[in-house]
Amino acid sequence: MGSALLPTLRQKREVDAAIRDTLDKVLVLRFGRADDAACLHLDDILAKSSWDISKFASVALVDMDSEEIQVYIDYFDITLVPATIFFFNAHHMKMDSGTPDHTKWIGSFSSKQDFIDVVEAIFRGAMKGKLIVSCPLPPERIPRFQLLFKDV
Amino acid sequence: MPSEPAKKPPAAGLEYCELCRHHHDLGRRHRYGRNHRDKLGAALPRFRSKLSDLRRALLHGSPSSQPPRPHLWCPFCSIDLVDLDDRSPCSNAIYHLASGEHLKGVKDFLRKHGGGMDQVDSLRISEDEVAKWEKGCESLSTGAKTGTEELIGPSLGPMKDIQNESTCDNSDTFARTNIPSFSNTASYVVMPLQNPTNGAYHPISTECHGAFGSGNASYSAPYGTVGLPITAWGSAETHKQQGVLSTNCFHGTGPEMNGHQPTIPGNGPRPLISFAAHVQQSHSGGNLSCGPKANVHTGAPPPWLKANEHDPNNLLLRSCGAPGEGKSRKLNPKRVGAAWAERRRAEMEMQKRGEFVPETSDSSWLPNFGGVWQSGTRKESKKDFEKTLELHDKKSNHELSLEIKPYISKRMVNAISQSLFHI
Repeated sequence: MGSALLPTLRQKREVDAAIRDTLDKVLVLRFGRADDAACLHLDDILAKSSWDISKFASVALVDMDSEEIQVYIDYFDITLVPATIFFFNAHHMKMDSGTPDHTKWIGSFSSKQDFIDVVEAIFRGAMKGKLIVSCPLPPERIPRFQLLFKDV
Repeated sequence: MPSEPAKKPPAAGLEYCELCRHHHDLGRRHRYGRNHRDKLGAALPRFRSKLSDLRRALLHGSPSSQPPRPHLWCPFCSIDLVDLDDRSPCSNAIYHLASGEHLKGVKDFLRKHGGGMDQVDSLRISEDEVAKWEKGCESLSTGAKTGTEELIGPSLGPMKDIQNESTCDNSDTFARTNIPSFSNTASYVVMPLQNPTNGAYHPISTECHGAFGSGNASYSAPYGTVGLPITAWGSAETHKQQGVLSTNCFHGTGPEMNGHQPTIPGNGPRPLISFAAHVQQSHSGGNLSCGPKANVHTGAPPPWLKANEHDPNNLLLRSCGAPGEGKSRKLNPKRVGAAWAERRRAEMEMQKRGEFVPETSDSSWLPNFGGVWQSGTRKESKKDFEKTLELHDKKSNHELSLEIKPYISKRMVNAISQSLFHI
């Protein structure tokens, strides 16, 4: 169960279509579960800010429990939930937020504006041709986590 | 005896310069500064050009490239000169510019900001010019008095900008019309004409009554249109009594037109907008070019759009026709995935047009992704992943192909073989 406003993708071809058909806009893919508290909090923020960023970004939710999505979970190496991945013109956008994982945003955002700022930074970097951007948020507002290499 | 050091003049307090729009403590020295002189050099000619436009348009009667401004800011007196009465446009501005107050303001301004007192005359209107203008106004008013006497509401002023030029000849018709009293539930400012001033006559069609009866509220009263008494929306009888209903905008369509839009004085700008939309809807196929010039009140499209419709080099058309192309022109070609986006956009357009597009994605397609523990390029990490995926698939298939058999111990095997041997 996702937001009423945001589409929930459960099949690989839907995710492929979203990535391929979103042109010149940032695609925000949230990988998570509907019954997770952090996911719900993040979904709320995504839903509320989707209209504000609709001109330069589009948001979609991906259900991690779906079978077809497992290949993406392996490919994107998603181990912590929720995980938000950003794309621009079918290219993955990285963000250096001081965390061990630059490929995705782990956890939720503290406010709507933080999310909008992050998406804006990614959009601006993408329009300039950068595949990796710096996070505009201060460190205290970035969720911290530990990343294990192959469970070591 | 040691000489006393020259006393510094006391520092001037902070002053605000209206020209430069900032505070300074330079005192009178400020007006000799470069920035201030530049600002003054820009401000005075600007005001002079506005003044010369005003003079040319009103005092000498020659048409200027621009119509007289409805309001003028006098920087010397810090007054906004707004003309409320359109019968004598810019009268406020003229009287002020000829007044003693303005003269004093100009002198004070030049004294304060520099610029030379010889410029005073070029920044005001003299009494002779005011007298000339007043004479001109009187002659205009006596000439048009019979025509404009009965006109209620804002006068057209130069009537050409409301109707076409032929209406000027028909100004006498105003005197013949009787504008009945209105019972109006809504407030109104403009009382429209009763009869068409271009001689056209269009009786109300039954469809109009139907339109009225439906309570269609999208009416307003642009200038130059025939008005109707505002009673209840659905009262068609008053229209019948009037008997004449026409607007200049409908003249072009002639009697063929069925969807007459009788106009009623509106409240103001809001009804005008809806009227324009309504008229445009009804006139989608109308031939407006046959009749008098279409204008904003008749709901016609503006001339620059009309011209652009026939212009093959129109950028607007091109961009409207191919929105994707226009977008890509504006976007940075060095942005991430620019080539991909162009290719994909072309594919999508071909799909929309129904053309065959070779399938570029299959179930094994994966996007460009920089791995978490990436070493090397993204393509390499993608290939590594695809290899591991293949291996994993092979393993799972291999496991599935193994047959699961029940366990048989050696004793059982021996027992079975002995029993068979005895048999």
